[in-house]
Amino acid sequence: MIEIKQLAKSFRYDKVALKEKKKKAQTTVDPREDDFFFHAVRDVSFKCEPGRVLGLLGPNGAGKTTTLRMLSTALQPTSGSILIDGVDVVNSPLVMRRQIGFLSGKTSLYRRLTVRENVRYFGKLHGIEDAQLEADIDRVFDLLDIHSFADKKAEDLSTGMSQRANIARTVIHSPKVLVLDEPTTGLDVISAKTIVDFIASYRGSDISVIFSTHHLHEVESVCDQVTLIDKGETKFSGNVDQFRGHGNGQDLYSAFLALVAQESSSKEPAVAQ
Amino acid sequence: MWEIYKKELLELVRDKRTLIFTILLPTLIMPLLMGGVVYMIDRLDKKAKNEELAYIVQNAQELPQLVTMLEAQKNFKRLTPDAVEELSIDTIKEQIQDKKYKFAVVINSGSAKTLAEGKQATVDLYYNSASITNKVYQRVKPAIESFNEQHQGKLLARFNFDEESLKGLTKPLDINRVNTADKREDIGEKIGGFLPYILLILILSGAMYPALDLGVGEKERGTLETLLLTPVSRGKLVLAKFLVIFSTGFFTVFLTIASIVAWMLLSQAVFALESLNKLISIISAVDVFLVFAMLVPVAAIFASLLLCTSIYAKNYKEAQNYMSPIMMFTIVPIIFSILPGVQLDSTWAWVPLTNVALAIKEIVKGTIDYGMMGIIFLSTTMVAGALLYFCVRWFNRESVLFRT
Repeated sequence: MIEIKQLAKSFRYDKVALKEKKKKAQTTVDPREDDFFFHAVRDVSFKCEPGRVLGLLGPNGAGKTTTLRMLSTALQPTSGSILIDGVDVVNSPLVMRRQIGFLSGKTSLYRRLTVRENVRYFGKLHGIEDAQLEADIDRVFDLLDIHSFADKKAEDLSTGMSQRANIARTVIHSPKVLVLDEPTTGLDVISAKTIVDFIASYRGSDISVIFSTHHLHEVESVCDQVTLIDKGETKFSGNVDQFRGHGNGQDLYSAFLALVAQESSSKEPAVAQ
Repeated sequence: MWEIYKKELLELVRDKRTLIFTILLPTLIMPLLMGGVVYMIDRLDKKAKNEELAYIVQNAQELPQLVTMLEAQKNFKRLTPDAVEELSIDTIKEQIQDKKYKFAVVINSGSAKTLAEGKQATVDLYYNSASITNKVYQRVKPAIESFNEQHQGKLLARFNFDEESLKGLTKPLDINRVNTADKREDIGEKIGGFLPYILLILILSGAMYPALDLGVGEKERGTLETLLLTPVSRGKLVLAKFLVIFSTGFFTVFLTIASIVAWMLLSQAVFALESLNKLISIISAVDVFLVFAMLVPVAAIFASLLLCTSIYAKNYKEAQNYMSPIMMFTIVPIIFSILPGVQLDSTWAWVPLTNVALAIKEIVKGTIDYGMMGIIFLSTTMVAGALLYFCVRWFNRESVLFRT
């Protein structure tokens, strides 16, 4: 189980950013900014049980990617905790990386390596023994129907093939937690469906999936839970129906807009019990 | 770590640009370019020495002996156009410019009388020296010298002077130069000055592209973040990348030297790399080993420096902008090593890059002090180690890795 408590991350402005900030006339007050720091994530908390898919929502710049980067150990939190099955990710990043699979719309494969070489490389870096690794590669390639282009170089793949290969790379070490940061952004309908189907296949398994997206219909189709963050804070955390209830009760869009719009009036996050 | 090393090498080998810069450039292009340049210079030089030189002489009747001596020179062709005596200086210059003849000798009126009085006379030599291969002056000079010798003999006879008395009069004290430098030191001084320049620049150019590819290239392509999320420590990641850059830099210089020697042996007659041939004949395998040993920490310095720069840059373009200062950083210390008075001593032994350039020169000359070499190896390794440590620290800094 993933348990994130009061997570915060601040970035110190570099000299250039500080100069630009001083030059700019401040027309609106952003609670994330102070004189020297940008508090990208201020207070984010949520839980995700194994076998469940959590949709992480929020407008651009809300702090989703920073949160996921902390969860995947790429960034260190300023405060708060991230526990996977009770183990602190921050204190044992090298160990916990074996439990985490990370995929985003921006991550890509080594283009001069074949799909098989790419997946094998990451498997080896995760410490999988050679014999086991070859069996795992076959299993994952079967699952994702990759065999037909397994020996093609990544630079020669179509977007859809590339995304499937990326998924194989993400899951080759059988992680307990899958972190997916806007994995469908920029993909065509078929490629995006491949990803969504892949995410859906983990429902009811022993793996927790955190899935950040701007496409609410994807949340509707695969997510069990929703966490909405805005300006670095959790605005809502609960199941999809509870989330829907914050809007007109019909769709997720109205709920999203309602929760983001009420940001200034409500200080407490709408956490469903 | 070795998995990363192997994979990075495999990717580089599959990259056309790396193949061009690391293998094709040192093995084929560089020797061909160097050989081609030497071959062309040699041909032009030979042509300039042997080409037929057409010329005119004004006031030839004034010093007929001089004219005879000019005519006796090999491949000299005297033209006697009509009204040669009436040609103005401007016309002569114009006609040389128009390539009607290569030079003109204008004997001043009264020269014969001046010489007869035992005084110095002058002749004017008009020629165009704009071309680097122009040999007119060098080819005319022997004729003038022959004339001078002949005339001096006449004068000596007139004043009852013998040749020895003339020497005592014109040059009472002469210097007999005895050079204690052996052939190797002499050649080493000449070649050892520019050899470090070539070697160090080759390492830098060989390491530059892989460094860009492995640092900012990975950042731009979105593979760095994936790599950072594997259970491999940042220290091992840096070390693997560093070793790849180090290997390619060192491999480039090794390949270049090996291919130059191979090419020289294969086509010595065509490329006429005489100086390098002499160098090879006097340098032992141990010296070659020592030179390469000196290059090891240098390659390490460049690899760390380039990796730091590459990982710091936001994008490829920014990284390329940093490469010019790094090139300057390399060239300036090498220039120090060829300045007059700069020698390998206990002070210069601690100056990075300059010390290696000086040491290579001493190795080539055969006068290396092994104690000093130890200091250089130690100081250069320390610099490389410090840079590598700095590199690991940067790899742990979020502000550097996620700098956008």
